[in-house]
Amino acid sequence: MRHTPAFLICFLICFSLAKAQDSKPFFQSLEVEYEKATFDQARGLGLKLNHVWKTQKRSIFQSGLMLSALTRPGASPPTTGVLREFNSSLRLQLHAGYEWRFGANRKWLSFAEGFAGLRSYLITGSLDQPNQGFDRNFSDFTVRGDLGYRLGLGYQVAPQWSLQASITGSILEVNHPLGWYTGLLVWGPDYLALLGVGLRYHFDWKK
Amino acid sequence: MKQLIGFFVLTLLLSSCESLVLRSAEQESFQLDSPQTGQSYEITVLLPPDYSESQSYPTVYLIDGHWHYPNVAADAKQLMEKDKIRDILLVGIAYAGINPKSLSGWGSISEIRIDDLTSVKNKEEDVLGGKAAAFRSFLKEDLIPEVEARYASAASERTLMGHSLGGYFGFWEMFTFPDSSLFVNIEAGSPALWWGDGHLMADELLLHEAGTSLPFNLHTTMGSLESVTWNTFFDEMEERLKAHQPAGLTAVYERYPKGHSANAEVGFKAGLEYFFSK
Repeated sequence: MRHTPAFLICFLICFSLAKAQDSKPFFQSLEVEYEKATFDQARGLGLKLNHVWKTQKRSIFQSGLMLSALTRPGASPPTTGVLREFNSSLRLQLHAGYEWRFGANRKWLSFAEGFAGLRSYLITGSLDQPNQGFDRNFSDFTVRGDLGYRLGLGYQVAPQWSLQASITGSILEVNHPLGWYTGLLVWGPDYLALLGVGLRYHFDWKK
Repeated sequence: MKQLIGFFVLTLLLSSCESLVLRSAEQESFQLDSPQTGQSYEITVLLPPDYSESQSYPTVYLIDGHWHYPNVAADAKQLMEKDKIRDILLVGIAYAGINPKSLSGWGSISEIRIDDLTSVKNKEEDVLGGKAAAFRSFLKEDLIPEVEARYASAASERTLMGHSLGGYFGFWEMFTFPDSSLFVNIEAGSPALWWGDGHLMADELLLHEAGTSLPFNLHTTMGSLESVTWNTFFDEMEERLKAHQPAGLTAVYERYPKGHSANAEVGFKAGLEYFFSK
């Protein structure tokens, strides 16, 4: 994945900044998720920082930033030509929502949050189609607004670590006003919803 | 005061009911069996707001009506009611008795339409595809005569509207039957020009070398998010047609920052405005 180095650098910067804070950190948790689109091949990594605004007995209200990068291999239909293609989307979101703790020792957690942000698509590549006598390049970069929700479930496996799974959906028109016509979703970098699994690191566990 | 509010609400409700009745009267459906393709088609016809038998209306034949008719009919209705386009008839062609959500497996819409809308198989070893001639016979010999017998449809002003393989079918119609005058307008959204090793590119070249006229108005669109293959074929076709300038062809090529299915919606609306603007 071409985004992976950039993603790792972002991850290390975020982690270092948050970890370096000696008083109560502004961001109290960091999440990293592997995301896979429902119905098609788009996949990637998400990185999220959370700031806790209000804590109650079993719930907290938090907000933060999320950056994720997905690639969509095999977006083009195969032809007899030689295809070179890179197809991806990058999302930057501000989110806010609630997290609820439950179960024995409140080790289970669920969360629901909304987000607003930007989603960009990058397509670049070329097709050499000798049978039809052409060799062309194509590239496109498009940015759109994004608005959606994320629901998730997690389990605290260690004092500072939780495992979690989530589903992310956009409520803005993206690539598919026809929704479940999955046959019409396959061409391009877009996706209908994302399923994610990941880890959460809690910076302020002992504070 | 309460009585006044009650009267107001009642009036509002009644006027809503009246407009619902009028709207439903503008759309009719019937089923047509095709001996050519072996399929049954659910045909839905949108009539213009002040439909009159004494008029003669341009008629749009919409392929894949099971998916696109609701959006295109809503757009056409709105554009006609706002007087932005001429009054038209919109004919949605859907498969009867098949769930439009069926996308895979034998007998699904996705597979039937591959047979109906393509003139060749994508690859030699494929099972599906290559029966477009039968579907065209259904259009020419059954559907169009039936529509023109039932409604005040102008035979001289037929439009073919399709997306994806439906867009491919539009180009195939142009290149294969350039002098048939079955359709004068072709709306080809996101045409699958890559189908069958891109043979439509070769077809266009043969027509150019033979000096064949293409007496069509073409409006074709592509979504810039539709990946490299779709876009490079589209760009190449545009470049060739612009360079070759076939006699009779009026063509508009448009791009939208959309994906494959979103491009259908915006492209079809743009096509209605392009062909029928007042």
